[in-house]
Amino acid sequence: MNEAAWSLGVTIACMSFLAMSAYLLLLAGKLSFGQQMYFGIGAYATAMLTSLWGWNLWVASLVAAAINALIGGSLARLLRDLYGAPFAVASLLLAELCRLGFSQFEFTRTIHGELLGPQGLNGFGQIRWVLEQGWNIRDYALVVFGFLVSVLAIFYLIENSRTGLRLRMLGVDPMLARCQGIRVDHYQVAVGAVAACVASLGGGFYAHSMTYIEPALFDLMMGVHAVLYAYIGGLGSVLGALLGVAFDIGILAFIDTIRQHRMTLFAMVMLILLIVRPRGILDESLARRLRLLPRSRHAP
Amino acid sequence: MNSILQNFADGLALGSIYALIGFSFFLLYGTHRIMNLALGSLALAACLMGNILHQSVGLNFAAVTLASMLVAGVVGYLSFFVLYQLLPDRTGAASLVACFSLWMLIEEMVTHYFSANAYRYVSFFGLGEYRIGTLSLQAADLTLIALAILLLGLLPWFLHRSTLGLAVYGLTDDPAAAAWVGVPIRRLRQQCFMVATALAALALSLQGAKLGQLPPMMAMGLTLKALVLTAVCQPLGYRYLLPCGLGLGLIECFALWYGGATMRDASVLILLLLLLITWQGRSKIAWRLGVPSDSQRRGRSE
Repeated sequence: MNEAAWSLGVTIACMSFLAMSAYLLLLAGKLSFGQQMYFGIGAYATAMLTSLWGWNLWVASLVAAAINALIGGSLARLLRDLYGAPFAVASLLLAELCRLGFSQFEFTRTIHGELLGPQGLNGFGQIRWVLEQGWNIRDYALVVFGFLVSVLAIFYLIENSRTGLRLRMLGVDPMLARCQGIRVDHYQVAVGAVAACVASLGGGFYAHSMTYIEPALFDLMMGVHAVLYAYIGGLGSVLGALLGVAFDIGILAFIDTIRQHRMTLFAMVMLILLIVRPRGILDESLARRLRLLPRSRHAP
Repeated sequence: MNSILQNFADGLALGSIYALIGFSFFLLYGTHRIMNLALGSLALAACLMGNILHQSVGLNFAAVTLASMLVAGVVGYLSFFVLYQLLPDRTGAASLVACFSLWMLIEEMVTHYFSANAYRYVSFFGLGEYRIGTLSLQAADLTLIALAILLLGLLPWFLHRSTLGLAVYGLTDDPAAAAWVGVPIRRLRQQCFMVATALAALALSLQGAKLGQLPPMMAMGLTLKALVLTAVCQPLGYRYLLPCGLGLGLIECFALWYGGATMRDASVLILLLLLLITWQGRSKIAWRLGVPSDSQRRGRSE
């Protein structure tokens, strides 16, 4: 594999974290167009910790994820009464506010005679921790894939546990779930925190692979894409989110002849899929047949 | 003093657009339970198609707007077919995702298939601005304000007195009951989709005539703010659309004047978010403030 392919692999992996975060919220019945906010906060926080204070990337990623979990949990609690379109709109407003904050955020330090750190609209460049360690793109890609596989494994275990079942119940009907004794508010806060955490990991890796980030990257389209990836892939298994990302970034962006019309094609495919397979390619029934979800006697 | 008056006039014009597009959202949400996020881009595409008549034949604003509204009716019908007829899951997340996909599709097509020259929009009958001292009032702005006040002012009369209005009101309230009393639900829903898109096209056409251009990015900003306005007003009732829309326009213009674009964006986003959380999530707060929703009002009268 050449460098471009490894680089594409890293981008797919980073976006997969974002798509998985949107997927988790969708499972719990919340449609969020604002997960790019956590992706952005993760990117800025991780890059600041490694570039300005010389932290190790892994420790920085985990600290940024913890900060994001705190923010995500708090916001999930604040928005716990909103469902459907109002929740989607509120998440979008929060993400836009956050992007506005990034565009005003300036925090620089001079390190080895060089001014480093976020500089508002001019973005944050020279994020060189990976290069300074002497890693090439292949090494970095393998580490990111390792993290992705670990998160996937955790998601798989959760999905196939009683917690996963409760989450799906919550997604179908929160009122019914409450009647069944499920503590809906607690689950919503936990889901918000975990989703923010996962998106943050993706953001940190993305910043270090691109070496430059700016507020415009974390716009509405990134949040919309995260949801669309989860929907294209399917809501039956977390692998669906990866399938959606691979379809858009791996196939549509890779074929030169259709690159110019990628977005048009992507939107068309999405519309057709929603008509033909409303729960995505890897929906619950296919996931059960592939043994990605536990079989149930009452399942369709 | 003049700056305050100028901002007041600009704010009213901007708020009128929000109120008009917000009403389109309201109509669609009431009759279909769909937040059609593609509404703005559909209306914009219709306006740009209507504008071709001006660029090729040289027709004036009235003809272009009429053509835009007709095209908007047709694309509104097509979007009804895709978003309502073909979609198996018409409620919840799938519907919102479908609307977003349609919005992306239309915006991409507009960006690809219309040249930058096509964004130059026909002027408002060649009328410029009226000056009163240092205060300048655009003819298109005045028309927008008058149109919003007239349409939304007459709305209660239309909904409660006319046969068609009562049918729409019935459909919004309880589709099954409306069908029982002989309201042609399917046809009415189609018509609502067409009228809502045409109304949004009218608002965008006036805004385009005022600015002299109609770039694709404009639809997104207007649509999102009008959408949030609708979500905020939804528990309160359609009567609050006009005052809330005008209020939003005024806040936006004064914030821009006071602190620039960042202050404008931040203040509007924070205000809308707070309203959304308090009024949508906990409508009982709105009830305590003495602004009961339509259903609450009806429940009380019964």
